[in-house]
Amino acid sequence: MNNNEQMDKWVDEALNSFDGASRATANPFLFTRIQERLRQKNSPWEKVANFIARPAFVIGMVVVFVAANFYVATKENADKLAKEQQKNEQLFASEYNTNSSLNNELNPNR
Amino acid sequence: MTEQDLIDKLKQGDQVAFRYLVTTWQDMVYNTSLGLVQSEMDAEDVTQEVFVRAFEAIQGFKGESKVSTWLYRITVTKSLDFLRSKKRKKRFGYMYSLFGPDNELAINPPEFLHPGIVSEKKQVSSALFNALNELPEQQRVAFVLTRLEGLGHKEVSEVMGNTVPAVESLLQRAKLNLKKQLTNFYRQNLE
Repeated sequence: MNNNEQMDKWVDEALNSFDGASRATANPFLFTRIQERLRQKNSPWEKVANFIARPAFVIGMVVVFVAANFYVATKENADKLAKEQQKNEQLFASEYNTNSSLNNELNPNR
Repeated sequence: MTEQDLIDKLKQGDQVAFRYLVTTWQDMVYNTSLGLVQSEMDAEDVTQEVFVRAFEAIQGFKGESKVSTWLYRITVTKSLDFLRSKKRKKRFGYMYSLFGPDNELAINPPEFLHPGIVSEKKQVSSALFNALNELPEQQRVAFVLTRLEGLGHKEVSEVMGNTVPAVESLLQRAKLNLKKQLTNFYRQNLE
């Protein structure tokens, strides 16, 4: 028998190796395990954990976190700019004494 | 108990009926899953998942097909989902092994020996199981259902939602591909 014939014989043997196979039997405690799994699945904590583990929830939380950070950062920047502008105006007013003259004009009796 | 009685009782949440469902079809589900996932521990996990899913989905079961066909469908879906998730984990495991401790052994278990196959064919069948892993999903499912579960082409077509000629074509391609895989395997062993 040459190599090719030998190989064909092995291939056929392997292809037919499922012939006469019996069914593998499941664990005798399978039903108890299924009941336990159902009980766990129905527990409120498990439901909360499953909800939190959902990709949609995780992505939503990340979006909220990034948006909150962005909001705080831009608001802080705007406050800082407003304060700086006010400070500049005050500096300008004190430099050219515009406040007092304006007050005099508005209240000439003072 | 007729199948319709069983379905009615299951819909009412009857625990005795559920126990009957599990004990009657547990070996069928386990054996199918074992043929697809090729690990006794994983097959048991999938079997549990199948019956949990059946319990949850019974309200939607209209009884148009046999209970066994319905269970086969859930088993095939759950087994393929399991294999896909395992493949994803394997990819991650490969990345992990590049940077961390070597966990290849846990991810690539040794050759699979099916407990139901006669002892003198066990070693040879492990080559067939290896070759099966290389087949496209649909071909693998058709082959396992016919050769390991002994289903007829009509029943396989009902489980897979295909026509009988489509199943026959899948089986023919599966055999050709398996032959190629096995020839390569034995050629490498001869060299």
